[in-house]
Amino acid sequence: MSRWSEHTFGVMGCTALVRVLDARPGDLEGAAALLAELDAEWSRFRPDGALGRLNTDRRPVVAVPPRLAWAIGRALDAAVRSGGLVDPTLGAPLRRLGYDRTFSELDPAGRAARSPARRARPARPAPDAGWRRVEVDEHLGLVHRPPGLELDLGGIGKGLAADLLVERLGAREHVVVSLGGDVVCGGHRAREIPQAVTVDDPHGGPPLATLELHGGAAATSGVTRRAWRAGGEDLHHLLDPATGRPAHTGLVQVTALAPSGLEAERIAKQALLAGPAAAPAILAAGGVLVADDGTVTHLGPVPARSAA
Amino acid sequence: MTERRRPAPLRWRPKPAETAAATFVAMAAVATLLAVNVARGHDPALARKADRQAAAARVVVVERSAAPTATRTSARTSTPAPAPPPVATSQS
Repeated sequence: MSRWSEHTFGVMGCTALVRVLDARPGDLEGAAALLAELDAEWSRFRPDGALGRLNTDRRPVVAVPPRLAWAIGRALDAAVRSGGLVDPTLGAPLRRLGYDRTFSELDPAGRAARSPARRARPARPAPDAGWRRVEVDEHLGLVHRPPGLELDLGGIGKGLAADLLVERLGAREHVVVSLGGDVVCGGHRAREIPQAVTVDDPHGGPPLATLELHGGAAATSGVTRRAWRAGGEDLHHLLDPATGRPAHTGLVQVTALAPSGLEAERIAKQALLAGPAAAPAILAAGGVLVADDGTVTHLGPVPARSAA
Repeated sequence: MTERRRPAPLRWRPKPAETAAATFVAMAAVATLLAVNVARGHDPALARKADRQAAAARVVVVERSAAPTATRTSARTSTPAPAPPPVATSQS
């Protein structure tokens, strides 16, 4: 009889869940080790990590580990595909706004979980498009960028990490990786074993919907959880690239379905930044939108049913 | 005395339009022949039997997909897996 094994642990500033059907000895320990390695390489909050060193290096060309070069390459792809909305070069503005350490380490007294009441408007790409000035030689592991431009892999890094892990365990019957809200399913029986995924309410209420994954991924971006208060202002981590300030587009949360964690992350963030008018066209494979007035919209061919 | 010339041998060369027409006629003939053969070989009883078998196969698939962990798309005979507990997607 097939048997599920699972491991829950903290990594990348969030909680990770790895669940495998018919796991082999060492699978779960190996998964935790891989995610810890990626966290050390890809986190901008670790000054001694590869990305932390890259962001403070004053040379125009820096050698980085091949896996970081690959991840930066995928983040730049996401910038291209999103027309510059999902911009991986906003590390410096985020740091200046106070998001300079893992969110769980920010002063709890300064955190806010409110949706700032402002006039909504779609985010726009940065006019100088810093991401266009980044070049990566993935073969040689070299990153060319103007010194001072700080890279932030953010949610794209989490989606990629989940994809890598599911790919590594792809020979197992079924694999589920949940990494800070990104859920990726794989394994050779993924299409026949439905994985229920509940969509969290951004305001802490009961789940908004339950989706079924037969492989592929679901990711959620939002502005109510990684939010804090500084200088009398409510801030969050999804910046409008054009202004370098938190975006207020009329959407507070977007869940996207896609073939991979990377794509689901990119689509969710792009849709949230593009706003409610443009979001449905971006969510081609389906998803769930939550507007700032509380309206919940289910989109796409994947059936969504109320969890209530 | 008048000189008699041997008439030049007749040579027929098809014009392009004539070639196309001939090809069309040949293809139509082949198609007609095929259609006739298919019609002769068609057995209504055999077709009904095939339909019944296909319907039975569909019933099996429907029964499999009614189980909570059964496949919708595959008829493989792998061990049914227990349904995995749900996971949540939340803001990353």
